[in-house]
Amino acid sequence: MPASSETDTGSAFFSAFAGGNIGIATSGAFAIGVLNSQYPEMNYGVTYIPGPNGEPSSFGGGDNFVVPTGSSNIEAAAQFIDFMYSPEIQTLMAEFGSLPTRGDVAEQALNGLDARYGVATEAMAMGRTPSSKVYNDIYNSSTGPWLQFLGDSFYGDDVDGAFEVANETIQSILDGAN
Amino acid sequence: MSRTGRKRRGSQARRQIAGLLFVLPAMALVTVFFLIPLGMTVWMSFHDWPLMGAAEWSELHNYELLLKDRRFWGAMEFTFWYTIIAAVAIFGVAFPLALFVERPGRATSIYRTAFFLPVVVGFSSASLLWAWFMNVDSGLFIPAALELGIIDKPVNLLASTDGVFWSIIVMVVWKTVGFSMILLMTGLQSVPSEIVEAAHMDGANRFQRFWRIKLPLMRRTLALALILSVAGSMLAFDQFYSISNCGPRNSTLTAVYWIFTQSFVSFKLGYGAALSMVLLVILVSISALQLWLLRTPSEDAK
Repeated sequence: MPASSETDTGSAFFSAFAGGNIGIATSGAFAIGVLNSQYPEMNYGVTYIPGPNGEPSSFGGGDNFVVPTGSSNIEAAAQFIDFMYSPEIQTLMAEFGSLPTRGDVAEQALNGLDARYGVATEAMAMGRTPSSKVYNDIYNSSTGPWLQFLGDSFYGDDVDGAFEVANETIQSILDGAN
Repeated sequence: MSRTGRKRRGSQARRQIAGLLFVLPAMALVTVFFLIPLGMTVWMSFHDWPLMGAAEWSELHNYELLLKDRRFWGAMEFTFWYTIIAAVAIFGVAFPLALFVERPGRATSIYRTAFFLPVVVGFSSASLLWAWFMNVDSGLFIPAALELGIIDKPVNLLASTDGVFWSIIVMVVWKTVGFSMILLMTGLQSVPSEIVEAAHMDGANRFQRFWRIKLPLMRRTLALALILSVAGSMLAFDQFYSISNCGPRNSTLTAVYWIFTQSFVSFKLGYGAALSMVLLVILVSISALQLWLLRTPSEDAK
């Protein structure tokens, strides 16, 4: 592994891959748009992440539309959300690299665009996301157990131990939240 | 009541009012930017407040949680060590520099400016700069060392706790030594030269003049430089956020970083406020201790 991989924060994801010495890189659907615009001559393909028994697996990430409690603009918010999920807007957003979130209009929205997006949309259909109020604490936090686990298992000596520690920490965070 | 008495008392009152008016802007700033936020933090620490929801009164619940928070006390321990080592390093470099630039010479003003310049670069900018300097592929130190043949394989400075720690110490010394140097320099210059000359005539050598005459007379300046340095290091955040993101797997987690994470990533503003209060109390006690240790004997006699 390149020496910089241990401390990479994601800023060098694509430059490392595009350098030509890395055969496979795990990433998300946003990679398609970035690679197409920044490294147009690169010849690459897209496929699913392998699951524990060989079947494809995927992680459904992305951003959310959220209406805080007590908002006085609920109707306007509802109208906006309807607007964003309309087929026309899903098509427009797809042109700018934002995957259509409606599976039923996905094919129509991606019509004429890069065929690799189709793989990403299929992956999203089987994607799973842990849904929890403390998601941030567990996955996004730089002091959280997920990053700790990844670091320990790739760069440490004891993978099983890393699993156990991560499980315990995640469980305690979940317990603490309820 | 004589006329002059009335006039004297009138001008006295006017001077007092004038003094009050002069201090008023500063008082307003202190109140708005320090006292009110302090009050708000105390208020917040008694509440349970997810950032995007309503605050609920929770009494001392946050403080109870705080006592059991292993991560926070671990972070405080790390911050203590970091503070001690950083203070030693900064003073170790600032003192020789202060002695060096104290003597008027041809190039001393250039040296003073050169040493002080890093201080005016913002801490976040400097941290970001150093984060990229230390990058193993596209930085400055490792590629240069490879070119010069000092090392034969790239070493990722940021991948080990020691590497991160000492790199950050170097960066902080580079950044803040100019300020301590200037403070110590003014302290050295404030020592009356007659006393130093008298000691010289009495046969004291360079080292004795420094250790027994100049240093004790610089107590107040030393106290100031030390308190600023220690307070700054206890509250260290920028460099740990930009350079190491609390280090390879949470090993360089500082107290303020933990407060930040709890408040803005875990959305527990009340808990973050309680942690801040504890940090404040610790910092005030440390500063009080320093002031007491470095008090001038004449104040003691009072």
